[in-house]
Amino acid sequence: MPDAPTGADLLKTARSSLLKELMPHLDESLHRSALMIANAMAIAARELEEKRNSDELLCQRWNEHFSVGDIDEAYGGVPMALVDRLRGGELDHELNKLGALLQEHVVLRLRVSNPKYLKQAGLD
Amino acid sequence: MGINGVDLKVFAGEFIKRATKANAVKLDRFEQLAGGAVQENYAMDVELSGGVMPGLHQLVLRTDAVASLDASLSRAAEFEVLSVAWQAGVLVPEPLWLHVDEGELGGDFYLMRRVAGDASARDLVRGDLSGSQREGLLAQLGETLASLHGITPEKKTIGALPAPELPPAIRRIQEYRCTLDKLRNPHPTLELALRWLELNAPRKHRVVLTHGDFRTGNYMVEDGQLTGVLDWEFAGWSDPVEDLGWFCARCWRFGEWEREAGGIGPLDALLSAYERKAGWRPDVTQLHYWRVMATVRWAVIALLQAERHLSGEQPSLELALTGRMLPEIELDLLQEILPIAEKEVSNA
Repeated sequence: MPDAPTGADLLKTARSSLLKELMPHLDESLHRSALMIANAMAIAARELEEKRNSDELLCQRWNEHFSVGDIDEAYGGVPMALVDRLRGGELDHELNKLGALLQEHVVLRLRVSNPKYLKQAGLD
Repeated sequence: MGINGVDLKVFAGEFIKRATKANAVKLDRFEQLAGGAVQENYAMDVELSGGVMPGLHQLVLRTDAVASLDASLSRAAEFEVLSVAWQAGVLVPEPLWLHVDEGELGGDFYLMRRVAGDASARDLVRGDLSGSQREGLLAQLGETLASLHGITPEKKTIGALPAPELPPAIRRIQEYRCTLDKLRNPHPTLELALRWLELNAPRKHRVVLTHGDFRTGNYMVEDGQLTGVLDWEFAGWSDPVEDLGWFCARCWRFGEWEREAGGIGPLDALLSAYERKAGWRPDVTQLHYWRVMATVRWAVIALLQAERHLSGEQPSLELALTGRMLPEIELDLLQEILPIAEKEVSNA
């Protein structure tokens, strides 16, 4: 059990403080930097809260659908064999299936990095 | 400021004096302009006495920044391309003089006439231009791009640009795969898109002089009128639709997705003007193909920018956040190419 408040809570609170308390006193030339910092804090907070590991999910699905064999942890869980098979044309008739699986993975990553983008893309 | 300890302002003033055979040069302004991670631009106002160009001149001096990209042209090459474009009537800042350094300064630079207006993409896209102003601007952009694309390797030799050996699409696919192979992780969504691009590569293509970074943010606008196309460091011989695809890709609409042409307005306004000038109209399939290629390119650029941060070469929050844009770009790609029709797979 982590100490409370959690890291995600701290980040959210710090971000709110940055935007509400500090930002109004910053010179306009620094606003872009402040907004970038706020954005980075929001991503980090969402990442800490996200229970699902998008790479694990992807690897599991790959093995279910494409029997790619062992997952190479050194490559962030992405099987190199899959890339080789794609380039070699072995998966040409399964591109839609692979695309749907990858989109599922992308959606999970966007829930962390930019949930608004999903909404704009009609996926939320 | 200076390069190798030489004051750039003083050096440039003396250079202009020699280039124009002026009796005297008075520098009224010399200040760095915003932007330009790869190149630095300085606004320079000079008053020349005597010589071949007496009077007041508003100029821009362009030189290399510390960071550089392998794929970008040298300043000398860029000056040559800009000169060819200017002579062909493309709306660009008039190129004036090139300094090729022989060790006295430590870097090349060139001077061009400063054009009026603003290049800020977000201001332009979200600004208060009327519908007819937007269509008028797109018409100017379409015409100026068609003028540029009228320059072909058969008509014009450009020493700085080697003649292409492979079809443009195949060259790009090879280039992007090669870059991905050098990065730390595989990227299956980009690999999927590259395979789709390979399967659907155009069987016929034109090769013309392309800008290589023709997008909103890289041209100047004043009162809704195009005043000049900037940033020519990625120019080369390629398929003309590559420029149009880059301009229209979702990543360069700055959030205004429904305005398909660069976030400015309707695609037809751009393509109709292009067709009037060029005598042909890129079709929907070609444009779709090069939009996908553009999106892959932006993903590769984002990964390279993130790598500069991750490797410790240039720790930067902006570069780090660009890396976290990858899922957005991948979603753009998947929404562009899915579902893949059977005939798109059987093209190989």
